[in-house]
Amino acid sequence: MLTLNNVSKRYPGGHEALKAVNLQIDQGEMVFLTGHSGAGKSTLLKLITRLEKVSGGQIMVDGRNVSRMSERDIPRHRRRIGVIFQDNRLLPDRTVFDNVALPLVIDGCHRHRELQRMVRAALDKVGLLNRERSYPTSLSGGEQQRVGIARAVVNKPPLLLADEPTGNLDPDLSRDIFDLFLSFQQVGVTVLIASHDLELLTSFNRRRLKLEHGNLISDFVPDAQESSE
Amino acid sequence: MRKNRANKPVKRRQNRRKKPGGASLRSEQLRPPIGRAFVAFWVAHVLAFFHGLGRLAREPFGSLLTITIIGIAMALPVGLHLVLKNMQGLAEGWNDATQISLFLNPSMTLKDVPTLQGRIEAQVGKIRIEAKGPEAALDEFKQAVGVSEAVKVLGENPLPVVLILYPEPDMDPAALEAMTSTLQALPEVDLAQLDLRWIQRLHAIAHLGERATLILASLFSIAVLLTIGNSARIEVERRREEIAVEKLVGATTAFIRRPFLYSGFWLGLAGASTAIMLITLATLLLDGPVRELLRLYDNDSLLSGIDFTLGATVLLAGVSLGIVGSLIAVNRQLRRIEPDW
Repeated sequence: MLTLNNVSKRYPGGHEALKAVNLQIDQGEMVFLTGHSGAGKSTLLKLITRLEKVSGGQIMVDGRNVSRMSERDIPRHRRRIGVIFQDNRLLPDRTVFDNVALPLVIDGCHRHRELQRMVRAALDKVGLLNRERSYPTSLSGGEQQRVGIARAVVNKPPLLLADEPTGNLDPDLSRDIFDLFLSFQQVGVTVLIASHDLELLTSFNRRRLKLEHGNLISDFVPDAQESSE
Repeated sequence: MRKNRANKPVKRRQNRRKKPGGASLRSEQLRPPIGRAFVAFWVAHVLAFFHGLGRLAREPFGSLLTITIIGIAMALPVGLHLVLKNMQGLAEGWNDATQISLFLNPSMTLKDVPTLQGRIEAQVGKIRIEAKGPEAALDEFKQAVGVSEAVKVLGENPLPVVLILYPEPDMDPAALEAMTSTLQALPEVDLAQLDLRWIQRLHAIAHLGERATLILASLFSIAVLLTIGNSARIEVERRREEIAVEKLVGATTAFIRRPFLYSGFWLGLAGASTAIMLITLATLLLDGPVRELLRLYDNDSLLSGIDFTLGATVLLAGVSLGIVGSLIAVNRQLRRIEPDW
């Protein structure tokens, strides 16, 4: 699903955010990306969504060569990746329903019934079906983050990226959010989560990557994935 | 991290690959089938059409301000154009009164006129001729100048017979000049006089006015373009976060731009309609005084306002300026918004 070959990223000014990173993530895997802030976690996610361009190496996502993708193909590439942000990036002047519907509208979904069905399915999955008419500001932090997740999964992308999705949440809510990610993995979605909440991560027995100063310094793979759930 | 196998580079697990020949898939897989894309294209336009209108409605005061400015800016050149058009209509009415006066030599009397008329028509073709004897001319002279006492002193009437010729109204000035010289050459004619200069001046003024209208229209078009561009720019700035999020979830530039272009369309349309309303209002207000003025000039032509062609042109110009203005501003502005998180 996701392959990085010798990927490096150097910013103008000389800062090297990633140094020759090699990585392969298979379809249906759930992988944690750890490391201190500034280690290159966000950079890696930005390269995958082509918000930024690699300085060297190659990134393949679902068979698409992201590093050599034309400008024209970038929007559609992003539609095949669900992204969850630390600060959820919901639009405050739109209802929960309209926020979640945005990726579908952008993708040209024009049948209202289909739109409604998909949005409700996504909201149902995150347990907020009864809040579709609310505005994001009237929701709690945990609820807002779940709306963000519903928006990321509404058009059923095969790859889900999350950048510190629980950064602003207390431990109980964080666990709920991670359980939600687990449920997506169980239906075959590939999930890559950047987080430094090690305590929480270790309680899930999943593959863990560690970045330090732009180097991938460890790749922990549990022996039997099901054992510690 | 007890089980962490540190410093081990990357674990590759090929066994769970599910896509056969996955790496060879091309970017074409991203593009939807053409039929679906076609329907989606039109649906997106219809949505943006109303979305653009909705955005304006959400900022009623600002939109009204912009629309009024556009309306006034467009009304000025259109108004000047109408003033000129009316002036030309007036001038055409006067052209009808273009005349050549033939002052005959003193030996000629009114009895000689029919014979002379035959000779004149042999020279210049069929023409309407009015003859004025010395008595009638003197009476007119007295009334017009108010010098009846002075005329009395003269004792005898010094005025000759005058023939007034009315050429066809569509004759151009050069042909009229030529006709006048032909008539001057007749032995019975002392003086043939054609008064053309005021018509020529009027035409020159109208020509100048046309040029001025064109310059004014260009300047005000730029003003409209800038006004609409500026309101689009402010709108993009206000929606910076929304645009960033849309880019993040895979919106194309065309998708993001579309509602702004339709907002420009609506602003241009509303501004042009306002201009038409303003002009119509002005025409109604001016109708009374102009009628009075025309009556004094013995002209019964009506004040002409905006007709269908002019109205359609104004609307088309407004809409085009609206779309182009927002296109330029939005393109410039969107490039500066790079999504980030």
